[in-house]
Amino acid sequence: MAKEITSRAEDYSKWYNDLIIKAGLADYSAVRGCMVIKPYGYAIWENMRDILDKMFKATGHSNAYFPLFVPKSLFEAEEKKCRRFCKRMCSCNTLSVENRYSKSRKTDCRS
Amino acid sequence: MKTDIQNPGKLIVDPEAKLEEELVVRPTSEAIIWNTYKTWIQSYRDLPILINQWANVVRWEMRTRLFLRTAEFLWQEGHTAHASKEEAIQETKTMLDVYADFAENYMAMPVIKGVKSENERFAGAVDTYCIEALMQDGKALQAGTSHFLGQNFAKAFDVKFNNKDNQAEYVWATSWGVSTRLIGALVMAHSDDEGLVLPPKLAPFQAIIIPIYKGEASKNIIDEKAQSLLEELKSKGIRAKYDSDDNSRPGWKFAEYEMKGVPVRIALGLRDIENNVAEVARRDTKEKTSVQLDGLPVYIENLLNEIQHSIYQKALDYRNEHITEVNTWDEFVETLETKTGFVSAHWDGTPETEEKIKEMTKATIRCIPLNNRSEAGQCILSGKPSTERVLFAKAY
Repeated sequence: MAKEITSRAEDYSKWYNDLIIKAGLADYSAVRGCMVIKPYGYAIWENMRDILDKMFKATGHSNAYFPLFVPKSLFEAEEKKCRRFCKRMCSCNTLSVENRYSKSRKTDCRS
Repeated sequence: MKTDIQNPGKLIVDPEAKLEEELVVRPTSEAIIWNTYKTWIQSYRDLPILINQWANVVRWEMRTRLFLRTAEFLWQEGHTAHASKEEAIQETKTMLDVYADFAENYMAMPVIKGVKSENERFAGAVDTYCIEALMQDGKALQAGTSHFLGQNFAKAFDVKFNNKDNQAEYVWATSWGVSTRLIGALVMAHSDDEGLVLPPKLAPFQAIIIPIYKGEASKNIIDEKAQSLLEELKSKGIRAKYDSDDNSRPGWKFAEYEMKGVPVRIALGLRDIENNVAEVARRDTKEKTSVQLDGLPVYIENLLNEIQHSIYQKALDYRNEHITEVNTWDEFVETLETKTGFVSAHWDGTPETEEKIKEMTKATIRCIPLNNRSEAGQCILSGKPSTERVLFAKAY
């Protein structure tokens, strides 16, 4: 029958986690600290996004997209921000050798 | 990466394939964006630039919570460039108002608009404006921030423009963002022990129709009525769904949609149809009413508005009851421990005192409210003079 969740009075923090999982908003993932947003949770995000997007456009803004990767040297240009974020940043310094050296690529993950 | 010759099918890092320049995954995009704006901005005619980006960002965290703090999250980040300080400050405040409007009128979550203390300010910002909400456990949650960046980023990335007098000046900047953290806030603000309570304006489904039947014959009659009702609701712009699934019983469905926080449930049985009524239950109060089928779509439309208003009011009452003015250290500690919520107290304005208070109580200054009145007082910890109260709380 009903999917039981911990009550707020018993353990507020556990109540929150139970609720997220049992209401189908999100799931844990193979990467610790990262989550899967399930369709029901994503539908709420889409509603939020659509409303906010309209509000941004109504106040004169446009959308654009910038790269996921930032050269480390650029990040170092703003010292305070650099200090604040350094412990929580992920860096990449090697590429896939297949993509870099092979002239006839056997696989292209994007297509 | 390369394949490991010793272990077929395994990947290893290839030391030969080192990138010429090390890259970081964005924790926020000021750096890459201001490096780009440098090439876009030469003259005052190129300003303002008002850009928003919907993206994912990564901030590796030691302690994570679903939606509230995850290593990767989705967000929007606005980055604007302006010719004057006044215009950039105005933009910062306009976007704070947009966030407050969204939180209160869509999420049904009351927020306090304020400015952050130095300790809590965004790295690189001159001023960080924020909206702060209160969760049901009495802890505060920062729901959105809007930063006035001054000329800090323009100086760091050497972004200048020629003004109308042909003088080179550094560009003024803002940035502002909200993230999937808002979903965590939404859950914590309204939900109860039976599951989610969602405000109608954000609920994926606003009304769910559930058939109550025994046998195929009655099912067909109910199906037909439910389908026409569904169409009527949809034509009013209501996000409605009919759950005709044969495999689960009505009781199970009731509990399931309660868990999912669907604002309105419409139960439809054979006897209801004979009496030209349906049983309407609202998720927030659990109240049930028998409603005439003829006027049902209008009734549901009004009910959704009422629910939206009602859950906002409930959250507002709770929030207002949990702003406590205190004048002594003992009162401050006592309130944080027993009553919880926002504690309004005098502070001497120094980062050192704020840090000490944080170490001693885990409470931080959530904000200095924008509409703050000036009032002479003494700092609750140092006893030094203060000119206004600030809001402290334990926070997510």
